Amino acid sequence: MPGALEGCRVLEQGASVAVSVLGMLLADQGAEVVKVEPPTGDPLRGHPAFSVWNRGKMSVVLNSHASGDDGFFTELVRTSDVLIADGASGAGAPGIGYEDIVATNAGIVYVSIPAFIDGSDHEAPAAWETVVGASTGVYADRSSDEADGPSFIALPYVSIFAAFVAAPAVTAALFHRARTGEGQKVTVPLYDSMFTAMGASLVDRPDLPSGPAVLSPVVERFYLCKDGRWVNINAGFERALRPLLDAIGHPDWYGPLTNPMLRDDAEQRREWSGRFASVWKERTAVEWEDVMERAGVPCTMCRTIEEWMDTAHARESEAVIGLDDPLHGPMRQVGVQVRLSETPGRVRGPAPSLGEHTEVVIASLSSR
Amino acid sequence: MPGALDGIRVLDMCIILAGPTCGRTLGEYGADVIKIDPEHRRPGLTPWLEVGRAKRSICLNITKPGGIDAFYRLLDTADVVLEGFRKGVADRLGVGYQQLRERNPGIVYVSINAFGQEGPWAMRPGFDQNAQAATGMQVRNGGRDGTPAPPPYTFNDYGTGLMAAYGVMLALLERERTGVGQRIETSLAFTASTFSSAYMIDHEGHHRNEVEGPTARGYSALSRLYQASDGWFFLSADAEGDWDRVTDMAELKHLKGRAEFATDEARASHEDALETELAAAFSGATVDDLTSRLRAHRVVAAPNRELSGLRRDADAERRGLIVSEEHEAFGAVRHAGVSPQLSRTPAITGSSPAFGGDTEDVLRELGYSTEEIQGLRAQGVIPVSDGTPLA
Repeated sequence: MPGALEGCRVLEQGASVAVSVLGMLLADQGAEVVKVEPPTGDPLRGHPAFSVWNRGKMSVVLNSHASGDDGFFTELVRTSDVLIADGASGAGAPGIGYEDIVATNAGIVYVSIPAFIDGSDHEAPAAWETVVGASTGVYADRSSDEADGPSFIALPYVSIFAAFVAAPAVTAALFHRARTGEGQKVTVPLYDSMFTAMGASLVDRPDLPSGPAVLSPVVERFYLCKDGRWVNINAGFERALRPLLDAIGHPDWYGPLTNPMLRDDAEQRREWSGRFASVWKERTAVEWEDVMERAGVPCTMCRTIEEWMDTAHARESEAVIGLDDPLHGPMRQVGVQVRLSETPGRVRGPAPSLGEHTEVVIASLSSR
Repeated sequence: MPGALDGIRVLDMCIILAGPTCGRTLGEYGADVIKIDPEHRRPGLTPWLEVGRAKRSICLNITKPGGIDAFYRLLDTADVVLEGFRKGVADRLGVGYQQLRERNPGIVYVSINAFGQEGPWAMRPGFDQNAQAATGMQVRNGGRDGTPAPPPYTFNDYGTGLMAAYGVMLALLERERTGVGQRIETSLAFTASTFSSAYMIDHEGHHRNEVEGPTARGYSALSRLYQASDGWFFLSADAEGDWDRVTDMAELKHLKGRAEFATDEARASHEDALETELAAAFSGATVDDLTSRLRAHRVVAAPNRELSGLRRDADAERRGLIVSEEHEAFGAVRHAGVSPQLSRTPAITGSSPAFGGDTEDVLRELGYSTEEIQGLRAQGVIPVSDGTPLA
């Protein structure tokens, strides 16, 4: 069965993680993603995740200085439905600006993902993740006494989140085009998209109560288990707290644990946390997961990423898939994020080698 | 200007953050999103102001005959249904995919849960925190020897809602061509896996060498957080040519030409010494002074900001990334705006409705008479009056 984006050609031009990940999300749903690379290749080639973020794409190399290639690129633009650009200047193909592109293809959906709306830091896509991360509080000190200083986070949250914001924006534009024939420009600056991630943290009202509305803070936290591993418990609501207390044999704790006084009484909270801490030490983290799943209580062992990849669940739910990569051999990587029943999408194949599809794509253009 | 999803009607039965983010995103693109809650399931005001935006709200008890009947009449006018129940619950309530598809074959039906609909954990309950715990995110943040810690913000909840909205629009595109509806599934664990994709890699010869834990400051001496006299900033100076430029700075001139820092390889093998040098050199100046002078030398650097400052950022407010409004039901409020810009079909920020405030209007649109509406109130299918206050 084809993916929902079967027949949709996406030109991907840019050297940022967000551009690559957006291209991956579209390719997984059936789009024909043509990755346009400079002769030296995408600077992200060599990154351990290049094979993941570029799977199922075609790679085309354009030599912008050679005469004739301009015509080739124009023809590519003319036959494409979407163009993704990183908003950086000077990189890659010529004539990548919006005005140039619509002059060739008025119906195109042009997606630009710069770091900032004003184009600052436009020349350094490799630095965008960290610069925008720092600028938007991602590394802010999270220790309660602010004594630890900021914490750097290596997961590229900013870039991947921007791709998550961009994917529905692009499909909204494609839907509009399907109904009207009109293309448009979609701009998703990394910095701006982080305000969508801040979300509820931005909500403000003079009389807003502080802190989340949790029934009992004692059961919304991490506990250490018998085997030295941690579990995350989320049982701060009635439908989970009662079965949790039943499962540990202390149904009588419900009253004191839900007493509103507990919120303001740090000493009592410590006592109750201490009681819970001893309970959680009675079993291993995996045993608790099983007990709490049967009780219907959200409780999960804090696994490492390697442990997650090795779970039967990650494999059977295809959160993790196997793929034969020409560079790495058999490898495991993330599966398809969104699953559609009639147009399920799939990982179309491994990441291309540099320029692997230049000739195929040229041939396809002349036959269009 | 009309939105991209003008004329599309969405029924949103989701709670907390991830599912309602899907509905909100569709509302931002112009869909008529009707949030459906039983009266007793009251959200907190903070999440309501965040993910209730761009929707209408009705209170309807679908466990009562009159309630499920109203839901089905609404379904006949709908294009999309969103649910975030534990697996099996929607079927029990009479709003499972097969049940709804029989009534409305073109329906696009979205299921969002913690771990997906397949596999041994499909029945396992969980919130975002649980999905983060299971997939390695919290161990990464807290350090392998430390207490697990969640990442900042609720990236994963919002990401899951955005990806569900992506799925909806893919299905609407397909339906435009074929007329066929379908079911969409995504989960918090899939989103966490995609966020983790940079490290969720395994193959022969792959060595894990990842920066993690609460004391991490960056990738290397030339790409990390440094402490200035009045705060922290991020220095990103590991690109080609950066070394020459960064050592043009007055406080770093003494490093120019030093053999142990002359090349990438040399700097890598004297990482700690370089870091000590830079930390000492940067400690005497302010963040503003350092970042502006680094930028003048064409070296990328940015102040490390805190949420408290961002919440009051005038530029973000001017550009609509943060919105202040005088809300009819909630008074003076501030909340996030929309971030993506679409030139022809701009997204709208929208307001959050009063909880249940559109119940009667929506029923009237479906053709319910005043007497029928009174009857539903008497049966406890809908509240006695519209618009329940939230705390």
